[in-house]
Amino acid sequence: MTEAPDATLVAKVLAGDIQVFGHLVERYQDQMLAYVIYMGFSETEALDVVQESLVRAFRHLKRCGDPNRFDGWLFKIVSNVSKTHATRAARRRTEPLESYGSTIEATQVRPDEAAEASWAREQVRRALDSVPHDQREALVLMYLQDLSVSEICEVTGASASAVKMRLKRGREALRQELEPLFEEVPEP
Amino acid sequence: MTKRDEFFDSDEFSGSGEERRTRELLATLRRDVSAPSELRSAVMREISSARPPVWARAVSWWIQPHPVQVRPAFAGLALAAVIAVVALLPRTERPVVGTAGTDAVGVVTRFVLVAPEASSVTVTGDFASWNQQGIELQDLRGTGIWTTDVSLPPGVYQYTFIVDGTEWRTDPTAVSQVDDGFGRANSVVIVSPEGAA
Repeated sequence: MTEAPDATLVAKVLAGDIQVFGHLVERYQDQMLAYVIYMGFSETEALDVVQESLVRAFRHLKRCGDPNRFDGWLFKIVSNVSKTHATRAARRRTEPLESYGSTIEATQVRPDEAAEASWAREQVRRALDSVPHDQREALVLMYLQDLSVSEICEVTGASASAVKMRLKRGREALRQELEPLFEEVPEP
Repeated sequence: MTKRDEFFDSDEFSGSGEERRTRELLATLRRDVSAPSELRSAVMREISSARPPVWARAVSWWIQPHPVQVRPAFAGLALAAVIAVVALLPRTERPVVGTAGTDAVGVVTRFVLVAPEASSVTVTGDFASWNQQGIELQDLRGTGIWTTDVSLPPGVYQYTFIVDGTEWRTDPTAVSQVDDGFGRANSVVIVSPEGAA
């Protein structure tokens, strides 16, 4: 059953076998959770987003036009739900998101070499959080979820040119925030 | 060449240091993420607890078996009355779902679909665990009348035909059709020890 293609599992669920949906949950929950965490949510928030997305997917499964591309449809839902949660969180947040976009120069003394990787990772995390949502989403889907441009188009509903533009601006924004890290490795 | 290669070949940043460095820096955020087992449980609990609408529950009540208590004397009279009515009714052909006999397992129930345009027809349902492969029907005479016999224990079954492997088609002459709760209708066959209806 767990090896069955998505389309078969979707058909069974639509035929009334609700328990089969559990196999689809197991198949995609890790990937979905990783995506939402990469988008800047805490693990607790990410679990809420993924759970809500999966429940929404089940309730609207009839609208999955092509069950063979269930994964793309599912990521479209998680993208929308995470966007909604991000908007709500932004309203609640007392500290504006932009404040996380502090450049490296604004941080304190650089730690010793042993902690350098962790330090650099934190800078990247903060820089990514400071990038506007649409650009951050394109960067995460491209570089962390390994999606192609056409797949990103499917998930986000944006055109190819819009996705390319978001990637371009996202890279520029990251470079601006992480200038020293970009300069560490000289171009060949 | 992958889609990504094609994209970057046409992109002004193709192979640029900035693009490569972006990839390297973001890769530092990669981590193994494993969802806790509670997530699956929570999702399944939430979707299972969603109550169907009243009309769906009413239909479900009517097609589900219920234990019934009867007084033998009344039951005997009722049975005699039913037999009398059935005996007096004019016999009609029911070509779509019928009984072809009984065997050691159950009542041999015949499923028939008239579909001259079809290349293949299968039937699936409760009795086939809703397997999409289903049970094949044969058009033995090339007349577009597809048939198969399935041995079923007495009971009430929901089923549907699958035409050409993709089109789910209800049985137009089934005793009833019920909504499956997901926007489709299932046909219903009642198999009694005496035969199918």
